[in-house]
Amino acid sequence: MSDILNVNNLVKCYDQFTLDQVSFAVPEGSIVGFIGSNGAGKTTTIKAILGLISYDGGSIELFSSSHKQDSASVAAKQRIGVVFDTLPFPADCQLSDIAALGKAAYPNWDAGLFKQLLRTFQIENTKHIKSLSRGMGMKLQLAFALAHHPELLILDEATAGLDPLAREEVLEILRNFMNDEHHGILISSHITSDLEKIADCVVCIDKGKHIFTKDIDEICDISGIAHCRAAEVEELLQKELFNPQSLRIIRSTYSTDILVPDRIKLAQAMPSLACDRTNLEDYMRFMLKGEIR
Amino acid sequence: MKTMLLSDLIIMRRNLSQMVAMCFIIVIIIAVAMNNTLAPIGGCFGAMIPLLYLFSIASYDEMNNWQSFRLTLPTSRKDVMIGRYMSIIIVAIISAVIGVAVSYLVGFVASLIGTQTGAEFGDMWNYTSPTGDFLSTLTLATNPPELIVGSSIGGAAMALFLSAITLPLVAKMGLTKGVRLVPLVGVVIFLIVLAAFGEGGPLAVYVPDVIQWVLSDDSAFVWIIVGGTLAVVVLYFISMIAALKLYKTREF
Repeated sequence: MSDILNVNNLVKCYDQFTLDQVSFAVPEGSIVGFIGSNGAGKTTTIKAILGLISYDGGSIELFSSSHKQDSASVAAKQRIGVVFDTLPFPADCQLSDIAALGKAAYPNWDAGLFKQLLRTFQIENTKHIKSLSRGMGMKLQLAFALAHHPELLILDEATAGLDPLAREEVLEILRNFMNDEHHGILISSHITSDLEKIADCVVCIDKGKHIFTKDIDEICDISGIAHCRAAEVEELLQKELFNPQSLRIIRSTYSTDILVPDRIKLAQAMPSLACDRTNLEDYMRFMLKGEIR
Repeated sequence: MKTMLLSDLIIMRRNLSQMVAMCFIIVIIIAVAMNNTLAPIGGCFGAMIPLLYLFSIASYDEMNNWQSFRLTLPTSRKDVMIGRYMSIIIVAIISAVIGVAVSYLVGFVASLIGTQTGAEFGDMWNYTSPTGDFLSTLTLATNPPELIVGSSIGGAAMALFLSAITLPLVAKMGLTKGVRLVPLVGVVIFLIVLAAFGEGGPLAVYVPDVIQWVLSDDSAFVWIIVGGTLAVVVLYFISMIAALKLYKTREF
């Protein structure tokens, strides 16, 4: 499987923030979650990928062809569907205007598919943009993004502010999109539970720096959080079961929690030690806040 | 370019009909109530609609962050800017044509009822033409074609001139920030013209001759419109080149 999107050592410098050599890829057939705290640089990265901002170093390859500085190529953009966190169409437009915009913009615009998606999402064709709820707005954006048969979807906080039912509907749409093995999705989100449901791997950045890239299975199924007393911490560290750089320690008043890369291995070596499964949110918390021994 | 051109016109299509209706009401008030010639009709249509269009479409750019999303569509920044310039010039041409058509329509109606005096229409209209024929200044007989067509083209040229000043600023910093600098640019242009043609200016010596020519030559009006329009088209093209460079480096 080749990479649909490849970001290599991306650098973007602002006065008070630097996106510092961020690298990751979206292979065909995979959903890549893009996480990080507020101001980490996720939106900056996505803007650079989409050509909304220039960048100062590194490279971005879309569909195996690189684009420089000011914008992604027109040909590449024909193969991308974009969903932002807010509905980006002028508020006075009607849905028929949005369909006309799609037809004007994309050579492979599928008017029938757009109508069908609107029907599926129960969005009335006569509605003004300004009368759509947030959930409806996100679905409209998804319909617009999907109606030209893109190969790559880029979603920036697309599920933020949606109720659980609407979020589940959106995730279902994304799963259906991935039925084609040549498709790929880059989705940035603060709602890590959504990513646990659909992402194949997760890229985390913080303060402009790449923190980790991990398969979701490694995070949610293999790694774990060990709850240790002081003596157990030393014992665990002295056993050298894991690379010290892979452990993250968060100390609290009553215990010390250690993120370990393989909870089964730990359980075999130290059966008496309580070690829970972790989830993406905790994994990210440990990776960002945890202490390295 | 086609994508952007269509995108602008799709977004504005409902607003354009409102603008034409609003402009029609305004020109009727100006022309009829003030007992004017047909010139303001074409001038208003030619100038008002493109300018309303410019500021409306630039406002829409900033609404819901549309301008950022638009750049994710399969179109280049160059095409976005050229499309914007083309859409304005198309609207200006259509507005001038509408201006001519409305002028002839009003002139035709005024010619039909132009023999009646103002008094016959009651006090409301009496002050506009108390002694002469009502609407006599609006008849086709008193408004030659060059006045009707020239005023429409002149109005459109004025709109394009203001667009040529405004668009590079909007391209660089958006409407909200860019529009603040438009008056400043206007003042700078005014001062340059004043310095060139005012007392002591290098071109001041030609001013009396030009005034003499305008007053004595019947075709001067036509030449001023033609020359002015050509100058504006050149300025508009230069403005587009500048806007392309400014928009290329803009960050969203």
